[in-house]
Amino acid sequence: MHAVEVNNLTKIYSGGMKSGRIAALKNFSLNVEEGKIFGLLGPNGAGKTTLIKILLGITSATHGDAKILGSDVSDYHIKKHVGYLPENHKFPSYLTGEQLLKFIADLSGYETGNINGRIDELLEMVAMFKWKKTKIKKYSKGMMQRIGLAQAMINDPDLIFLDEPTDGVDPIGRKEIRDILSHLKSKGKTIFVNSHLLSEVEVISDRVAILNKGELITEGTVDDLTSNRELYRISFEGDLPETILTGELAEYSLNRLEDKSYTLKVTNVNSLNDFIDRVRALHLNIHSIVPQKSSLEDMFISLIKESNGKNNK
Amino acid sequence: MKTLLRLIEKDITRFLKDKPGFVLTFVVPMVLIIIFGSIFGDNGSPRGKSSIILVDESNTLVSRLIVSRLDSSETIRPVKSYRSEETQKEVKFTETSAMKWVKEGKFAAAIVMPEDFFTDTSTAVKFKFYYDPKNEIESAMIRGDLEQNIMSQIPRLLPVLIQRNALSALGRDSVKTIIRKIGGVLDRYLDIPVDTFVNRTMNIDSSSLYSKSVGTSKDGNILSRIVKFDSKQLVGEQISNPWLTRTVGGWAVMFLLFSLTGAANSLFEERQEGTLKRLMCMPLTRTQILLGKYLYTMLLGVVQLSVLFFFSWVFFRVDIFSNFFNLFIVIICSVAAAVSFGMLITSVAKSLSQAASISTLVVLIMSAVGGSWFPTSILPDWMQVLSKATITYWSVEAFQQVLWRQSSIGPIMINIFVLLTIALLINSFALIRFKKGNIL
Repeated sequence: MHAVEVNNLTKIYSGGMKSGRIAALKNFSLNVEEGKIFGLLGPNGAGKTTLIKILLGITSATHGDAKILGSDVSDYHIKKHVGYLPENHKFPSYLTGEQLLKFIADLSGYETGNINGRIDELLEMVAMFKWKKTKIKKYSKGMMQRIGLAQAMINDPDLIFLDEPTDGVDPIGRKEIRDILSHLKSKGKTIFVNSHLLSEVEVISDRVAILNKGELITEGTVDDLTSNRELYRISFEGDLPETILTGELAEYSLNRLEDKSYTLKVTNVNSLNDFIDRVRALHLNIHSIVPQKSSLEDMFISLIKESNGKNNK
Repeated sequence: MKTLLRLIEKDITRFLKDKPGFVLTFVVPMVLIIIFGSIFGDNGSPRGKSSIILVDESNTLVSRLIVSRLDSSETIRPVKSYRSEETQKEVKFTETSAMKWVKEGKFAAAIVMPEDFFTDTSTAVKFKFYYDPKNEIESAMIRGDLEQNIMSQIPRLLPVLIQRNALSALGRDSVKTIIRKIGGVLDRYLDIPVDTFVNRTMNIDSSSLYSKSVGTSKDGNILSRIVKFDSKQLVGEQISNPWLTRTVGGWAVMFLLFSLTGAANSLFEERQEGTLKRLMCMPLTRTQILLGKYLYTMLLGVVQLSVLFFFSWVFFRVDIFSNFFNLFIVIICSVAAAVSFGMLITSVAKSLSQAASISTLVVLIMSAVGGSWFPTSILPDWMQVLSKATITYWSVEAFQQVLWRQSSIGPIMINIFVLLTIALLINSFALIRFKKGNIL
């Protein structure tokens, strides 16, 4: 069973007389495996928030199906097993952190045993225990994110939606949040992260999906998506003679690195094989060939530009 | 200077783009001016007629003259009969039935011309005026209108009275002799033929009394001593603080509408701060969320009205306990309708500021035409029709019934029905919009 299953989802907003109809999602399909951290990426207006609103039952799809934890999103009972950290949330400022967690626990249908113990445990986890009696209005932005994360976990959910979870959190806090997410994952929880911080998503996510203008551009593991099929790092046994570099291998784009290895830029796999044949013909031994990775951010920008280019044609 | 102009331009642009602010600054005052102008202004719409019961038990020439005058009045609508519930036929009002209807609050006043209307020798004509001063303005206006209508007939009534008394006391021949002698004087000095004067004076054409022309109020004032108004208050004589008892309901309803609309509009605040979104991600139905808001707002309204009435009792001796059960029922029904009004505004507005400006405008209009500020009977006819489409009207009327008239549940059933129907219809509409996601 997938934690999230989305099939041919379309959402059209009626924007009134002036703006007409706006398709926020277009025939969108996606599956998220249980027990994984899934990152949802996309530029502003890509449809990420709409997708999450549909999955959480806040709005309904125009066409298509969406399921969470095996149940249709319209079944509100399933939300007992779902946690959610909204973006830019403002919890009732007159509550203390402890009162907020109690309030959310009551409404989330959390019935298992000692709620006070659960609250203390979560407050310890997000490093907010000593602020539990302080009113939320006195919390900093980072503290708000931490208490937000705690309330998303209060009902011990199997699926947690996090909208910009590290927004406003300092680097140390981010590391702590990453550790919390890893801990949750180790307990078999599925985490669905929507974030602009690509470096964060890159570090924590098992799989990512990229949306643009309501369509799925790509989806896969972070390794898959960041692997560059055009750039390789090659190391040889011993030094490569300069005469060969400027002679027999002059037609290849080789750059020497400080550790005496080289980067090779090719146009496709055939070019790479041609290069290997040429090197072997020169009786040189190749020690390793490793495809080079680009960052998730580079890949994201490249894909979005490519997608926009196609759409503009 | 240029800097200042730029700053002013910035604020003007900002104001013009702030539609709710624009509504509160210009539209609300203009609407209120229209309403007040229509009621009190010289050039406004004519005031609607006040319905009163008219009973003519005398059935004399003069009483028929008064009936005729009141029938053509521009301010009074005399009602002479009612449809019997038993026989389903029109039945003429009697003094007793008129008093009963006034006591029940179906009419504000009744004017009775008793059998001795024109035969009581202590006065020329005698009226009985029964009234329910549930609203001072209304009572005073009805009394004033009646007196003006009746007094305006006195100049034409007077010759008839003089002739009648003279004939009765002296006999026809003696009267004729006196008139002929007076006619001789007039003939000598004013050149009026004696026979013409005698004929006119001895043969007063009673039909002329029914002509449309009326005397002036000045004439009426001079001759007012020959008319006796026997006034009797039928309701509220024992009430210790009549003014507040009559008006507290109106003010209570207005502030109820303001506060409950604000409470319902808090859905917008919860949407802005993300609380609503978070609630919708919990195992709750939209109906539960809306019901929670509805019940909270209901509770707030009931507590608000209870505190207000209790306050009136503590400090101003407004009697709320003699008829407390019925008062509480009206409180519940009024609050239910007021909450639904708040829900309606929330479901149609697009933002908190828009909701606030719409609700301010509508609550003030409803208060003005619904009877919170002044009785609906003094409004122009078209406004009186409009008033019945407001929550305020049905609520204020019900509060007056239970507080002023100490009414039982029967007479306020229609009010209860209307208020609960409004609540049911509007809440259903709001619920449908909420479930469809139109509010979020």
